[in-house]
Amino acid sequence: MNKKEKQNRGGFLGKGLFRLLSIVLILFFLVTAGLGIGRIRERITEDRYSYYEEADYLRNLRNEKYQDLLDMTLDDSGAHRVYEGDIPQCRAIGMYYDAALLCHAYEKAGSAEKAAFQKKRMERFAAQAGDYQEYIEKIDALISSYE
Amino acid sequence: MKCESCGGNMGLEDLKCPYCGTPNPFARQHQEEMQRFEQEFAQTRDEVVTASRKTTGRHISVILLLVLLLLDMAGLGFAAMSSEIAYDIREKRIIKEADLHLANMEAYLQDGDYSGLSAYYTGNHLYALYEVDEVDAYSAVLRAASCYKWLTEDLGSRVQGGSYRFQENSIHQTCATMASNITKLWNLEEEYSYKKEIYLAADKMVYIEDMRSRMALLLEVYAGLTKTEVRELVDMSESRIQKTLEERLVVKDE
Repeated sequence: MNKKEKQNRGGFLGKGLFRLLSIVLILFFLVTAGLGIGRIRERITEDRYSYYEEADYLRNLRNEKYQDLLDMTLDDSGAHRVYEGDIPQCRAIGMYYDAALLCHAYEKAGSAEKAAFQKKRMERFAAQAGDYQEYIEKIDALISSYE
Repeated sequence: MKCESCGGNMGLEDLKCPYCGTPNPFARQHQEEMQRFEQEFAQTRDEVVTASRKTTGRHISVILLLVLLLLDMAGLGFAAMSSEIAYDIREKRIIKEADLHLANMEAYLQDGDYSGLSAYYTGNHLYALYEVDEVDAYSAVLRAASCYKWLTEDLGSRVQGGSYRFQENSIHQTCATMASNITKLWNLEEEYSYKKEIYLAADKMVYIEDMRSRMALLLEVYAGLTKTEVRELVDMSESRIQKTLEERLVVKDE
């Protein structure tokens, strides 16, 4: 087919090639725009680099890694975060560990008022621990036995 | 023109002389020529129209492809800039909720939860609020809270036991990090001296001093520092603090 005949088919590329190129370019635009929009949505909704699932909390709890549980509790504190399942109970135990460490230290130092403040925090968090009271007792035993 | 027979006036288009009726030999030739001209004109016109349509079609194709290419470049640029755009949008949202964040920060402070305060500030990207005066005023407190959080993580891990931080190949690094945070916590006056009337105002120093006294107690109870060593922390160099911690923490492991 010579140039004149090609031109007669409409378009300098030929109809078939033109259509293919157009489709590829349109698809490319849709993909890049979609990627951009997806990334924007992901970035503006994340409250933290990551947040933790219930399984993550329970793993630390069952392994009695109370500081790791506390770290997780503190890190997972997005302003609009909603906690589901047993996560609130696990978080309460993490915070109980924090208060218990402070309470024990204040009691050893003889600071009754500050110890009492931390005791109130411990009671508040213990009340939120739900079915996981056994871990509250384990924390008490761990800290009181620490030398 | 004049009739060859009678000399009367007649038009070139007249087939016969209007006076004598003699056939006009030039009329037919004229008609044939006019028809030929009209045909040639129509053909040329059609060729011009067809050719211009083809040219327009080519132009439209080129323009369409160029537009699509430009769109693709815009799409690529948009995808490349999407992170910056997202951070910008998020920053604006955070600034819009400044009052909420400030209230939450103050709740953490009222509860004496300095680690919680530090984690909340970092986790919610509140550095975006540095232009909000009420939040910026807490800069030194937040710095102290960050140091306090790292230190309590280390000490809490020690009590929990089994932490990699206190294993043989990690303990020196852990002590170095702790020494760095202790130094920062006790030297905030130097770091924030340029705006101390704001950052180190009395109401802010209450929290900073509380964190210091609390940390001193925690180091005594959980890291085994003596009361004297804790008192002298303010004057110790970072390397000296590290050495002291290593003596206490490694000895305890043995």
